[in-house]
Amino acid sequence: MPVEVILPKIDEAMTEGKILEWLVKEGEEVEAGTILFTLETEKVTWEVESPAAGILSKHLAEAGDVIKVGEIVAYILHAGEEIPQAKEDKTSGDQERAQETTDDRKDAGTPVRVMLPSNKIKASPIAKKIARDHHIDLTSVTGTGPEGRIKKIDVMNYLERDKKTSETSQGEEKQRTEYIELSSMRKTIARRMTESFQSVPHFFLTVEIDTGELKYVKEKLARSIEDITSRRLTYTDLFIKIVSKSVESNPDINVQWTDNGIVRLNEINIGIAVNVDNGLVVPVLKETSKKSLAEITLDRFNLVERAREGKLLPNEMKGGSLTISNLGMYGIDHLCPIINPPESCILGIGQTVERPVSQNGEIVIRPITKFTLSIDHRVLDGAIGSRFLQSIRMLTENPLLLI
Amino acid sequence: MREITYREAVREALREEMKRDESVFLLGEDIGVFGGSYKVTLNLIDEFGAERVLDTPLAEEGIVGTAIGASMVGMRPVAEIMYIDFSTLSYDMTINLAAKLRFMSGGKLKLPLVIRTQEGGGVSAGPQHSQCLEAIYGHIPGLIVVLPSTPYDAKGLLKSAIREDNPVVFIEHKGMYGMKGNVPEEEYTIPLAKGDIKREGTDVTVVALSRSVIFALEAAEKLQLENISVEIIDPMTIKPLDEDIIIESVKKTGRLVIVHEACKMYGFGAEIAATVADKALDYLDAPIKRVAALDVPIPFGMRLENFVLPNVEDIIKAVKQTML
Repeated sequence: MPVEVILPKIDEAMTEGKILEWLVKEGEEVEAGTILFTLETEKVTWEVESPAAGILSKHLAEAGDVIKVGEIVAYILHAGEEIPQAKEDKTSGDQERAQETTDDRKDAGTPVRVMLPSNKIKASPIAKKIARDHHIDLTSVTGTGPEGRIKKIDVMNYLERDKKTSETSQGEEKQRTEYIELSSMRKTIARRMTESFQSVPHFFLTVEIDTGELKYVKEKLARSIEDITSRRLTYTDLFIKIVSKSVESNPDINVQWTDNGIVRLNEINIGIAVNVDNGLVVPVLKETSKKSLAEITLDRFNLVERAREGKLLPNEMKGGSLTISNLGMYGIDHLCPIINPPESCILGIGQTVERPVSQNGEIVIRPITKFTLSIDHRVLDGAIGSRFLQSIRMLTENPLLLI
Repeated sequence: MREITYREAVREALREEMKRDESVFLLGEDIGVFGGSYKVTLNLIDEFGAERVLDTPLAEEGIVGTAIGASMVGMRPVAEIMYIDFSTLSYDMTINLAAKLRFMSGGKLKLPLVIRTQEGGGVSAGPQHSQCLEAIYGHIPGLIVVLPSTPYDAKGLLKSAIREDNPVVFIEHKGMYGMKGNVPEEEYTIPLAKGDIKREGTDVTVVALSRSVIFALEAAEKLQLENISVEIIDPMTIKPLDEDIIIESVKKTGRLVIVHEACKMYGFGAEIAATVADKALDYLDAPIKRVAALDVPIPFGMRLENFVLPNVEDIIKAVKQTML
């Protein structure tokens, strides 16, 4: 019988190791105990011995390969033996795991019954078996046997009652709720937002910006932009220009956190959150700091149109330095958006409200908009975030500085 | 169908087998001229002669030893040990020779002998004449041990025992010899090592042996009036044991009571309880109960003997305990 040579678990924490060097060639004879290969783990270098005498089979992993603990790297064969058919371990494992997650999802709605060890509970063997099979917690079953022993009939009665109550509540639930099928966009949003929210330490900086000047400039530029592009100039286009310029003057903001370290991006690309049917996409405008306002307007229009038609290409949704999310048109004053991974921050823009503010010691009514920057604290701190936001404010309140 | 007594059923089996096969002969104390202490072998000597119905001296060891020797050279002896209590004298022959010679000879020796005996109390026969000792034989590998509980079973099983090529200990019950039951006139045999469902039921399995089967049937009738449905399994052969029939029944009912007249400790009931706990634990809804004689020498006095021996009331109580 072929004997498996597996990657051994050298210490408690070890999950994988790298094969450094095979010391025995394929086809060579070995004794039990002959050193077959050297293994490198996080902590040590280890010599792995042959588990049996025989002939070393083909190396199933090469020097330099990183292998998980327990995986088979070779076999010790006897004369005439062959390596057994490749086991479908990986795929079957995945299937099992996939099944587990489906089951978990199914149960997500019903309350989980915790199984207590039943060695302190008096119950007959068949009562215990039925309880096990139906995931019943025996501590909630009343026993009518001697000394309160739980009998089969007690568990059966419990099941009946339980079935009735869950049937009625499920029935009620069915009337109140209706399951919506998940689109792949929704699944993607759910996955990415969960990942971002759970793994990125967010912090939020808010500034109130006077957008009066910006409005004035927009009105002035609207006509010419329309002439050039045949599209209407929007605040979004202006914000894209402002943010791009702010990134230019705060290059430290154009970074990303990765598992292998902090990466500085070479381009300035700005994503804009676009609301589409039943969801959200973020098309990314590329190299916006090199583009004129007219070019930005055209770019934005095309991308948004394609986004709404569901025709964005994958690379049109990637590579952003940061994302702008504007909920002003929905009447939102203030939002703390979730970072679009793997970007380092996201800018949330609220609605413009005419408010009394103090200017030169006097109360005036000015259009005020709240800008909130959500920042990944792994890679950016308060100071840099603040400087960036101040740049945005400066440019927004003094749009002529964009020239 | 005609009714005959248990003793007549045994006698018929002996007669028919002796007529069928010349190598079958009987030996024992007072079985010939006297017709047997319980009149089982009555008149057989007239029919088959003194060479085939042998009156032996008072020598249990010799009786079994003779049977062993005769069987080794091709005869089919049916030796009688008058009371199972006396078989203590022949243990060496039975246990060390009869049970083992086939194995020790690598299969070369065949020992097709039957040792007939009877056990049981309830007739004020006293401690040395009332014991039930089937468990001792049941413990010995190489023996087949049979306990019939009805005339029908007695005849069919004895014929099979005589035709069996290996040593059989055939244990009758002194209190049942007068019991009447339906026995067909036509030839029939009952296979060894197979149990019998004496009564079908759904609430409790009662495994009973020999005369305890009769008590169990009575208890079941009474329990039925209280809506408790009792299933009665009679193993008939305790070695080899028909485990399946018992386990199937326990799987159905979830409750087990074992009844035997032998004393409780180290009795047949312990073997069944252990087997069921091993192979059908998850089906049990109550602890396994054994109904057996108290672990004392069987008294002579009638009232004390009745107190010691298991009766119908004891069985009813045990069944009800499992229903609690």
